[in-house]
Amino acid sequence: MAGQSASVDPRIGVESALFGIESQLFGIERRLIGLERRLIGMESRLFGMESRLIGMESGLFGMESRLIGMESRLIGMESGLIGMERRLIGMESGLIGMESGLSDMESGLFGMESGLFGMERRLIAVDGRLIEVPWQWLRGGGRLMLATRAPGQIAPEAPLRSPEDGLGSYPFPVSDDPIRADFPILSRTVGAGAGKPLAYLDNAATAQKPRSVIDAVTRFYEHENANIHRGVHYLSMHATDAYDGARERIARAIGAAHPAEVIFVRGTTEAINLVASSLGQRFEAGDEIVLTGMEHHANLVPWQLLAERRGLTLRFAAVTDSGEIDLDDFRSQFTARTRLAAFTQVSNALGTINPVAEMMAIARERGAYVLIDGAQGAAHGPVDVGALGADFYAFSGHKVVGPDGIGVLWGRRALLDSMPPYQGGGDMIERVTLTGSTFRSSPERFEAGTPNISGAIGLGAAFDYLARIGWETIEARERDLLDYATARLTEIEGLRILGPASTAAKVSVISFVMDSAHPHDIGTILDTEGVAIRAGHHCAQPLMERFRIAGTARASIAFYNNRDDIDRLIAGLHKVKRFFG
Amino acid sequence: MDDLDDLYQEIILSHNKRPRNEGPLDPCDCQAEGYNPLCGDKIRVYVRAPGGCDGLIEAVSFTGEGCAISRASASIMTDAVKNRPRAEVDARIAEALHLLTSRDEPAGDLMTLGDLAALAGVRKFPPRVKCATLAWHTLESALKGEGSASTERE
Ligand SMILES: Cc1ncc(COP(=O)(O)O)c(C=O)c1O
Repeated sequence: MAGQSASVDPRIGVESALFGIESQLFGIERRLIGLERRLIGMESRLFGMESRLIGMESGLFGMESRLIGMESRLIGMESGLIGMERRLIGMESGLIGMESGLSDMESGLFGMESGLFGMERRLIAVDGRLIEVPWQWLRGGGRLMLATRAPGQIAPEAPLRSPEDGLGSYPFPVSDDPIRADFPILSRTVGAGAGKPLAYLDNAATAQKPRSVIDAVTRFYEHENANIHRGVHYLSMHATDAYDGARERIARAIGAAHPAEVIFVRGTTEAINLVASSLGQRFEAGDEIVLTGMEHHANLVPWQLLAERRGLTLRFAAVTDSGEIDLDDFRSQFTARTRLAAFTQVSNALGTINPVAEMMAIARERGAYVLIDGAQGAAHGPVDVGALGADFYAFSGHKVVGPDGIGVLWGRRALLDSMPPYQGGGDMIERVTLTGSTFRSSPERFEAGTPNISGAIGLGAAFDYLARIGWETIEARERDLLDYATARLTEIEGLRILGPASTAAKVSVISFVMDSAHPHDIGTILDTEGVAIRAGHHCAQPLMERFRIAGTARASIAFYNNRDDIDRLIAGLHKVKRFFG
Repeated sequence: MDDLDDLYQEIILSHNKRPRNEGPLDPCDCQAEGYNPLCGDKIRVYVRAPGGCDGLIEAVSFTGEGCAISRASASIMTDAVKNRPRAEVDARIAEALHLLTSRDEPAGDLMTLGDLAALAGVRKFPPRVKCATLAWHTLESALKGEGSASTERE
């Protein structure tokens, strides 16, 4: 073309100027494409790394199952091969080491993944800005992918929020949330017919279980089941190791000084009954126990029974109108006869986080034993029994994404060893004659009979899972949802939230009443919408009486919930108002 | 959705909003307190029977807080049993408890049951059945002179 231009036409000047502009525009376009490609490149490299890691992992799994095969052939051979078996056990523990290395890698991967999410979000932000480029600039460049997309098509469902909003505002649908994907039950529907997707907001009653916990329990029964501490055979030793291993892991996770301080029990209820029955034998008529007006029946009834048996007096610290412990009143309940104070770390009915450090200090000053009910506290933050400084800490496995029927009583070792047994039976004894017995020290002293072995192993897996997700992530997600839900509930006329006004003073538990409907009716209507909440007195009747109500509706949020669950709660409450308004 | 409309029929909602015979009776010849430990709801039922609780039951009333189902059931009950001889009241109680708890379709003509029939929807909501039976059990206790009833003590 250029070679043919012999004479100078003025229009050609204009044309070439236009050409210049056009190529500049092309330049811009290319740079934008380049930017996008680089981001896509980074993304796919990360994906590559991830799949290579997964490859390695399955290779290792292959090795493990081959080893198990070899092992069973060896067992089939003569007893003279015990030496070989020992070596195999060595290899196995190497494997376990590798496995834990793997889980480290996995958590590294997790980090990378969340980095990826961040990049993805930034990409979307870039994308969004691109879309804002005037359309005519891009017109004609039909090859440009971005220009062919309508705005909003790739835009997130929810508006992008500032980074400090935390993960809870992650603007992608449920299935893209890796934490939700860990909980198989969250993908089911509930109710008649095809049902409604489950919005599970009854986490304070019991938490759902991640795949890794379910698998740990299944694996135990499929591959390891045997009674513990009793058999000289291979499986029994293996099961004993797994049970003791779970105890060690849990002891480390809660900051215990020694695994012997961790006693496996059925749950919080049994833990408190254990202390009441055993330590309670030291108390004499006229001695006093200080409780609070917000205790779960599990931290009230065992003391009532003990008080009746031994002639003790129970005293109760008052609860303020905002559902918090009145510290002055708490202090004033202590007398020279106070032997023990027992109180909850977090109220299951209102979500209040109690000032445990102050309460500890007051009780210590008076020389009383202290038991902390951690049933709710352990579900919302890391436990450090050393820092808490109490004598006993009780919690339930099922509320911390572990199995039910298993829980922990933590106690100071010297104190535990000085306490009389709780139940008598096998495993807790040293020597038995027809006229008497001597007892082992903690924890065996308090674990008479065959314990919940699979439950303990499942609870160990639950703590592993929580560590892998990380308490920071858990707390950030719960806080985001608590703030969001509180704001949305506050908009509903005739709805009153009980408990601390500030969400900073509570965990993600929201107890509320409505002018127009009784909690039971609220619960039934929400249930038909697939929204599971609890309605009633929450096993805290004295607290309900304190507020002169029969019960509340309680939505309790876990880290695997999302804003969609909250939106569905709100929609359900509007339906309640349509029925009763 | 259908089930929910069945449960919260207009009749139920209106009995809940404007219950018949709410408030204590004075004088009162027998009374009892009913309690549902599962939800903490309490109800008190008052009976006026000047000739004794074995004779003519002239009037029945109730007080207490509760859900729509328990209030509507109490309200419907007070209308259903007043001015009847004791034997008829016992029969009505039995009929109501059967309607609320049996798995079979209600026997006989729903029309003869009057407002009572509206309570039948509760059977599709097992956790709520005890809300509906509370008032009836409490009336039973009052007539027998037991003083208290609980849904967990049957
Ligand atoms: C504060 C509190 N304490 C004790 C318990 C009793 O726990 P569990 O029933 O697992 O023994 C609960 C559970 O509901 C609770 O929330």
